[in-house]
Amino acid sequence: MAQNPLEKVEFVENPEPRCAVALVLDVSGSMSGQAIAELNAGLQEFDKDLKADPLAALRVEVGMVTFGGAVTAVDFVTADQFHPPVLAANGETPMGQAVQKALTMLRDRKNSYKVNGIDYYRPWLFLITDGAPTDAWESAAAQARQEEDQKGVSVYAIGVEGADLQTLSQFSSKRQPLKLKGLTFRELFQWLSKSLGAVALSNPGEQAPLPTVGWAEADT
Amino acid sequence: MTIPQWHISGASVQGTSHLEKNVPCQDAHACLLTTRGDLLLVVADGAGSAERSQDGAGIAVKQIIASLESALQDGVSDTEPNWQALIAQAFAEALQAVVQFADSVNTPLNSFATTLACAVVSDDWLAVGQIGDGAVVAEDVDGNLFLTARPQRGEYANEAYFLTMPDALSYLSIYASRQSIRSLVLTTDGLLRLAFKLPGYEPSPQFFQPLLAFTAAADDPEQARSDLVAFLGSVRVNSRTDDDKTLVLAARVAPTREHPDALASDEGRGK
Repeated sequence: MAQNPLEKVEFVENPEPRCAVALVLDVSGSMSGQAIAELNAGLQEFDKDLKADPLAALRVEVGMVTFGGAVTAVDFVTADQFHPPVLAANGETPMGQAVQKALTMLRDRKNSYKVNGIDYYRPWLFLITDGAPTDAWESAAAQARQEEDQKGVSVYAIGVEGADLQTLSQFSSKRQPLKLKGLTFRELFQWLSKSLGAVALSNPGEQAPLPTVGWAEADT
Repeated sequence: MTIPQWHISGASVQGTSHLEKNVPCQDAHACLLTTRGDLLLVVADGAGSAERSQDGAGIAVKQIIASLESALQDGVSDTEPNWQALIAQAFAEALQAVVQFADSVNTPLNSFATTLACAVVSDDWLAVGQIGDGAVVAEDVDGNLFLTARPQRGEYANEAYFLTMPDALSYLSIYASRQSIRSLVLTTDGLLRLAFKLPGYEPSPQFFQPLLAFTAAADDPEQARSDLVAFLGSVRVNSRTDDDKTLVLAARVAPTREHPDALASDEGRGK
């Protein structure tokens, strides 16, 4: 068979579009013991699943903010460069400060995409806690709601057993917090990697349908 | 006046993600060389999230070809405003056709969401209209490639502009200019990241020149179309995009040539 003359057409190498997720994780004292162990196992699962999807590994960017006593941030890297830390639990729950930090990181990240001509999807803020904020959280929650109303971010709040869901509900204007079934962090993070993978592959005009949530308790 | 001769070829091919999700090819295209020698090229990309977008794309393409052909029958005055008005009217009629169809089947208009881009070459005028993230690239007589209208995008990579959105006609971008064109390429968003250097959308000569050379040399329309379909469905293309993809190509045939193509018409959708 004759060669197709269009084999001569060469393609441009453009950077992959990015989908940033800020993991905002409670590592306060109350998380110690089995909860933090399961959270760490969940992060390992998340890392493994994202790397198993070659395109998601290049398109999903993971940033982390942990709060337990102090607030600690790790800036965004694409999933293929991500190394989940082993988290230890202690201290109070400065959730407000952590959310504020994550919102700032996401804004900065979008700016750097713009400056560098990289396409991007609406970023996610994924907040997990088993308690209630011990700092002044109201203005951080208001900022998160405002940012979400302006379509700047999608906020997902997850409460582990013992979490103050009423307070947690103040961090999103679009969706209610979900309560984790037991300590099923692995299922939670599997769902998250699948969801981000779907978003990061959606084409213009598509809303990626998210996989079914199997890790949350049904509404009571 | 001699009637200009063109080699014309077009194809729309289903993306691999559409194949997996059992969604049809939602791209559509059409080409027409009118009896008075006006070249009309159109592409449309139905929205992935809209359930009847392939119908929206098909109806819009069919109507805008009919509107342009009819408007051009009496010739167009040589002014930019006249061309702009002609393109705007054709888009309004294309939208109207989709609205009427949606009403007739009692289905919301946004179920038919589609982008639409058209190009007209008439005598020494080039006129282009576009809503959404298609792209129209022209080659002038000196061989320079240029993008006539930048693909319209929202902030996010999966946001798009559609003919069916509220106030859509206010987003219509029109390019009309008196200049001689040697060739034209229309494409939908599936190929943007392969064909343009982002973020400036500079057309890549390594992508477009071989396409144009292929079109200029394409004496046999059947063979050209089959080469084009094979290319758009190739592993090489599919490894870089999972979306539907469309190419419509036209290259002016040198007047000395012995192959005056008959009226070329190719209207349709990929499989």
